[in-house]
Amino acid sequence: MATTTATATSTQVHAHEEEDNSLWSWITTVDHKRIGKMYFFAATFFFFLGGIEALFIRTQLMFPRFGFISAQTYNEMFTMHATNMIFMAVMPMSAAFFNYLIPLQIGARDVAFPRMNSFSFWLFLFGALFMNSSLLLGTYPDGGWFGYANLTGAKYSPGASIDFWAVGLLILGTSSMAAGFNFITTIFNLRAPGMTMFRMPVFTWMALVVQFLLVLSLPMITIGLVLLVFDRNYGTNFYYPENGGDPLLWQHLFWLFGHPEVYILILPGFGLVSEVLPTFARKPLFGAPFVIFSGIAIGFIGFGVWSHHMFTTGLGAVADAAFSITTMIIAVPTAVKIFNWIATMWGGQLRYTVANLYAISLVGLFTVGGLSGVMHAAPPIDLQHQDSYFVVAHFHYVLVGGALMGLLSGIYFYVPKMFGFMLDEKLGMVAWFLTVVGMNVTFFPMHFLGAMGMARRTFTYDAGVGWEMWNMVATLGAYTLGIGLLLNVVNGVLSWRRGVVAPADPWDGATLEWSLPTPVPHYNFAKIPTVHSDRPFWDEKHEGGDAVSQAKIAGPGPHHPHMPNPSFWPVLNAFLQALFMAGFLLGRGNGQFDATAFQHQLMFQLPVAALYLLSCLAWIKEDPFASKGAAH
Amino acid sequence: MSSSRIPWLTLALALSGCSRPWQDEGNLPFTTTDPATDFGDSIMRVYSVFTYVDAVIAVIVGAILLWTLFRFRDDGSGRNPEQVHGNAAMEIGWTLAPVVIVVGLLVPTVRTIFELGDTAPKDSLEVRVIGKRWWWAFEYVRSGVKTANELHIPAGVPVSLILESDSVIHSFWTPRLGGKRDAVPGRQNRMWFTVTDPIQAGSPVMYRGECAEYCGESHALMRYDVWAHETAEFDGWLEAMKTPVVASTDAKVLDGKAKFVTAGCAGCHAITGHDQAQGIRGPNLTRFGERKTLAARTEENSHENLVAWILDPNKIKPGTTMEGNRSRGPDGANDGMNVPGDDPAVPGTQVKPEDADAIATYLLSLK
Repeated sequence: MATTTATATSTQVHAHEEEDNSLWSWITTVDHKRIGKMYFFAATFFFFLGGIEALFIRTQLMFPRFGFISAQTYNEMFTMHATNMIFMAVMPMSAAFFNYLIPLQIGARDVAFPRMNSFSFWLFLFGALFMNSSLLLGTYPDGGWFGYANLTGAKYSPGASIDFWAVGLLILGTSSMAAGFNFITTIFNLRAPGMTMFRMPVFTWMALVVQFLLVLSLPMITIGLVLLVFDRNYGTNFYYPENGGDPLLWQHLFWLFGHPEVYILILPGFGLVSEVLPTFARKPLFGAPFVIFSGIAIGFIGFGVWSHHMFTTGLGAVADAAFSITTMIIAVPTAVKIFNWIATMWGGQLRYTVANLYAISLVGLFTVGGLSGVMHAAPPIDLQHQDSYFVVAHFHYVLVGGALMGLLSGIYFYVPKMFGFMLDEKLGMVAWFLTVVGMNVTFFPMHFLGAMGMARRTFTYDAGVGWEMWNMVATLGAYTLGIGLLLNVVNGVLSWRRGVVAPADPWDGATLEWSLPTPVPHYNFAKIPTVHSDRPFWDEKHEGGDAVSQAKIAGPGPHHPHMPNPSFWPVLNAFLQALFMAGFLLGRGNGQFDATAFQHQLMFQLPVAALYLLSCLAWIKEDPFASKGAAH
Repeated sequence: MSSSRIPWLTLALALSGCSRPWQDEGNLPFTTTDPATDFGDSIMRVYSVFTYVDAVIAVIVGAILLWTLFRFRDDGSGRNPEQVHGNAAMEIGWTLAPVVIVVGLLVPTVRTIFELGDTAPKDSLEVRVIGKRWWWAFEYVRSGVKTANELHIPAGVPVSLILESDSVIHSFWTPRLGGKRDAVPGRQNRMWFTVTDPIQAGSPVMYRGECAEYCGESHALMRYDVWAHETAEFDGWLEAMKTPVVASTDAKVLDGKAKFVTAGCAGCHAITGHDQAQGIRGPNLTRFGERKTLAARTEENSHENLVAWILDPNKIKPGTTMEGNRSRGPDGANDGMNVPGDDPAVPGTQVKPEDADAIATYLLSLK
C-alpha cells in the first residue's frame, strides 16, 4: 500500500503506531481512512470496467451497420456501462471521499459506527462482484440501467440476467443505506467543539445532503425491485398489463429514486470543487451559506421532478406542466452555485494545479449540461429529445463534465493527504488535457446526433441519414477520453513509485484535515481541536489566530487515544447477507411461483440466515474496545 | 431542408470549422429541426426560444469564466488576495436573474403543453398504431384497412394516432412529424397532427420513423416510414388496400401462393385476397409488393433480400419472432425469443430455398 512509502515523513507518529499492512488487517479494519482507500481502489476498478464497456459501445457505433459486437452484446454493454458507472464507480468513489474526509473535516476520530462502516464497504464489494459475476455465467444484464417493466418481466427477459441485476442492486442499496445513516449520525454527533453546522466545510455539507437523498430515495427503488423480483419469480402481477398490472408503476418508483440519484452522483463533486476552488484562489468560498442552501434546495426539489423522465408516457397536460415547472426551478440553485464558484475565483490568486484545472472544468462543462437540461425540462422539446442522443449528450456533460471532473479534482487534491505522495503535475496536465478534449469530442457531437434524430440504445444505424461522421468523431473522442483517464492511473502508479513525499499541507489548505500530519495517524486527532471559524486552519496560518495550532491538534497527547479494534464480524456479516440475497436466484420461477425452486431457495437461504443471525449476535457481543494484548 | 431552420447548428458547426454533411435534402431524414406538421412547428417554436436563450447564457457565463481565469491568475507576488466572504446583494441578484429567465421560459412552455394537450378534431383520420416486437401495425379505424411498417396518411388533414402496444413499451417517433409518444401496453396514448408541407399529387413525401424506447434485442431495427399523400391520392390508396390484387396467372406466383400456406406463413400473416392467409400474429402483407422496405425497414424490399429474410430472419433481425428456418426450443415450440437451450438441430418451419423463392415471387407480385 502506498501509505507505507511515506511513513517516514512525519515525526509525529508514535513508534508503536507502525502500521500493520497485512491482508487480514485490511479485511478487518474499521478505520475510516483505510475503508475510504478500499472504496477508492474498488471504484477505480469498476470505473475502468464501465469504461471498457463504453468503448465497446462506441466501437460498435463507429461505422453504420458495423458488426463488432452483436445486438445482444451491445444491449448488455450499455446496460452494464451505466449500472457499473453509477452504482459501482461514481457512488463508491464518492463514498471513498465521504469516508476519508468527513471525520477529518469535522474533527472526529472516526465515523459514528466504525464496524458498520466496514460492513457497508464489504457489502458494496460483494454486491458489485455478484452482479458482474453474471458476465462469466453468460447472463449479463441486458434490460437497461433503468430496467423498464414490463421488458424486464419474466416473459420478455427469461433467463437470470435481470435477477442478477435486481438482486445486485438490492444488495448495493443496503450498503448505501447503512453508510447513509452512519454518515448522518457522524456529522450530527461527532463534530469538534465549536464546529457549528455552518462552520462545516462545504464538502461535508454536500455529503450530508447526499446521505439524506440516499436514505430517502433508496427505499423507492427497493420497493420497485422487490416487486420486480416477485413478478418474475413468485407469480405476482405488479407490472404485467395483461393481468391488470401497470408498467408505469415501475417508472414512477424508479424515477422517484432515479432523479435524486442524479444529485447523489453530482453533489459530492460539487462539494469537492467547493474545497478546491477557494484553496487555489487563496480566498474563502464566495457566499458559502448560499452554496450550502442551494445544495439543500437541490436535494429537496430533486424529489419533486421525477416525472420529467416520463413526459412521453402520456401523463396529461397538467402533470406535464407541473413537473416542467419544478424541473426548471432546480436550475436556479444550480446557477447560484456556478455564480458563487466564479465569484470565488474573481479577485483571487489562481494557481493552475491539476486539481484546480479539473475543478474549473467542472464549472464550465456542468454549465453546458445544465443548459441542455433546461431544454428538455420543457415537455414539448422533450417530446423530440427524449431517448435521443441529445439526452445522452446532456447527462454525460452532467456526469462526466460534473461528477467525474469533481472526483478527479478531489483525487489530485487529496491523494497527497491520503497516500502521502505528490501526483506528478506535468503528466497530470497531459492527462487533464486529453480527458477534457476527449470528453468534449465524444459528447458534444451527440447533441447534433440527437437533433438529427438518432435514438438511444440502438446497436446499429443505417448509412446515408447524416449520422456517420459524428458517430465516428464521437468514437475517436471516446478513445481520447479513455487514454486521458488511463494516463491519470499511470500518473498515480508512476508518482507512487517515484514517491515524492507529500508535506502535511501541500496546497495551503483552510480546513482541519490539512492541519494533520501525513500520513494521518490512526486516531486522526491526538487532541480534538476547538473550532472558531469555518476556516480554522487558514485563520491560524494567515490571521495569526490561536484557534488551533498544528502541534495542538496533531501532537501526541499524553494518552494514546482509544480506538476500536479491528473486527471480522462486519465482513462476515456482509458476506452472509450477500449470500442470502444470492439465494433468490435459486427460486426463479419464470413468471410463475415454482414450488420446487422455492424449496431450493429456502433450503439454501435458511441456513445462511441462521449463520447470519449468529454473526449478528457475535457482532453485538463483541466489545470493540476490548484490550487485545499485543495488538495495540 | 431550409438551413435557416437550424441556425444554432449552423453556428456551432461554423465555430467548430466543420462541414455540414446534411445540407443535402435526403441526408437528414430524421432531423428534429425541420418539422413538417403543425405539431412539429409548435415544438420547434419552444425549442428555438430555449436554444437562443441557452446560447446567450452560455456565451455570457463562458466569457466571464474565461476572463476570470485570465485576469486573476497568480501574479507570483505571494500575497493573499482580499478575503471576500460574499455579498448578499449579489447573491440575491444572481438568484433572481435565473428565476426571471425560468419564468420567461415557462410561459411559452406551459402554453404549448396545453395546446398540444387539446383533443383531435372530429374529422381527423384515426389510425391505431400498435407497437410489436419489433415492427409496427397500422389499423385504419374507419375503413378497417390494416398494414404494417409503412403508414400512409393524407396531407393537410388532421391525423390522429392511437398508440398501443401488444408487448413491451415502445415509442413512436417520426422526428419530422413532431415529437414522440410512448406505446404502453394496457393503455392508449394519442397524438395528432396535420402535415403542413405542400404535397403534390404523384409525388408523396416520406418521413422516417423509429422506435425510441428500448424494447429488447432488435430495438434498433424497429423502424418505419410515413408516406404523406395528396388527399385524393390517399383516398385512392385506401380504396386499393380494401380490394384484392388482380390474381396473377403466372405459375410461379400461384406456386408461391400455395407455398405461403404450406410453409406455415399464413399462420401468422394475413393478405387481403388470399382466403387462407388470415394470421394475425405477424404483419399484414396486403399489397406487400408496393412496400419499399422489409423487416421494419431493415432491408430494401428486393427479391433477393426477401428470400434471405424468409430463410433466416434471425440473421437479419436478431431475436425476431418470425420463424423462417429458425430452430425451436427443446419442447418444439418457437417461443419467439433467443432462449438459452434452443437446439439448432431441431428444425422450425420447413422453408426450402426453392419455396422461399416462390413465396418471394408471390409476395412481390402483390401490387
